[in-house]
Amino acid sequence: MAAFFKGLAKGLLYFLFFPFGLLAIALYAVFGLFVFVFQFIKLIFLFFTGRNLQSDLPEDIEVKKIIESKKPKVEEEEDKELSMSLYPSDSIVYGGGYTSPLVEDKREETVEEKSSEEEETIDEEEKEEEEDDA
Amino acid sequence: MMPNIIVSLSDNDKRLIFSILLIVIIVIVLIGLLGYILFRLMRWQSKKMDTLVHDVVIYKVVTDRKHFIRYGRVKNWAMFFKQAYIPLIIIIVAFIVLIIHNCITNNWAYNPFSTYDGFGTIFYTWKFSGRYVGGTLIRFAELVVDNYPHVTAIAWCGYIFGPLILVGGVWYLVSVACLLARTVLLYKRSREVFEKSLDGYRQSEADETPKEETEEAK
Repeated sequence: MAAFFKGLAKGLLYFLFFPFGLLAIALYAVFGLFVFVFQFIKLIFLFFTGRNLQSDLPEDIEVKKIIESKKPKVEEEEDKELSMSLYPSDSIVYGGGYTSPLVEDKREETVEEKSSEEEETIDEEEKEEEEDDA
Repeated sequence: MMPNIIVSLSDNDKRLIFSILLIVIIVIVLIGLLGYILFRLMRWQSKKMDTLVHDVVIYKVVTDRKHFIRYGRVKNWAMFFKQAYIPLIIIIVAFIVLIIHNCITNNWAYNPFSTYDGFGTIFYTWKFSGRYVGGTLIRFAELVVDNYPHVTAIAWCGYIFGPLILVGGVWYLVSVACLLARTVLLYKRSREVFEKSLDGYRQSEADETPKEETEEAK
């Protein structure tokens, strides 16, 4: 019920303020025409300088410079990470092709698993030998 | 008093009251709906202002209110030009068609919305007959149909001009509403972004860090 009355009150507000809103928009439409004409004249001038209204402002250029100055550092770091992951390993690369870092990682994991399994089996054998000796 | 009035109402009066109430409700609902759509549209468009001025604020390229407003205004007007040029071209085309028609017919008093040879021919129109109708208490001036929808060749200009001017006009008004919404948000943000607050600040309790910072900067 409260929601219904809230909706009703909102509807009444929209109804009451709609004419004022429309009046404001109508007045702004006249102002908009002047803005449009001003922009059109500006566009003509910009056209002869090889630019347009969507061209970057000095502030935009400055922002781009800041962004670009931050960009290379990130790229260098990424390159470093990539070169680390591409470090020659004992894995066989068929056809001398490029192995993706992901594949490398997986191979490293499998090698680690195998070595841990081997260590476990060696430990078990040693235990058995000790038991036999005893 | 009230029951006496209700009793004295004839069937025609009751029908009239019911239809008047229905019309009032429909009008309120329609205007409310239009207002709601306009409000939502303006809210949606005002967010575009944030996108336009976001980077210069985040990277601290713009650091004062005046500069912010000047930059935002240039961006806002450029966006308005982009949004408004199509509807304005449509409106200009409509007027060119009207001028061509008037040149051909040599009739510069031509009304493109006329019900005789204009856009109005395809609509129902009503006029007052001069008679009064209704019940015993409520009486209204009678309305009779003035024009039934029909198509005539002489109204060709109205058929082109009418839809073009309606579409162009509404489209232009929508882009103006968007411009207004973005302008309102620009001024709102200019106050919020560069606001300096001393809420809860005590100079006596403040440490010396700001001084040191300024010395380092020197």
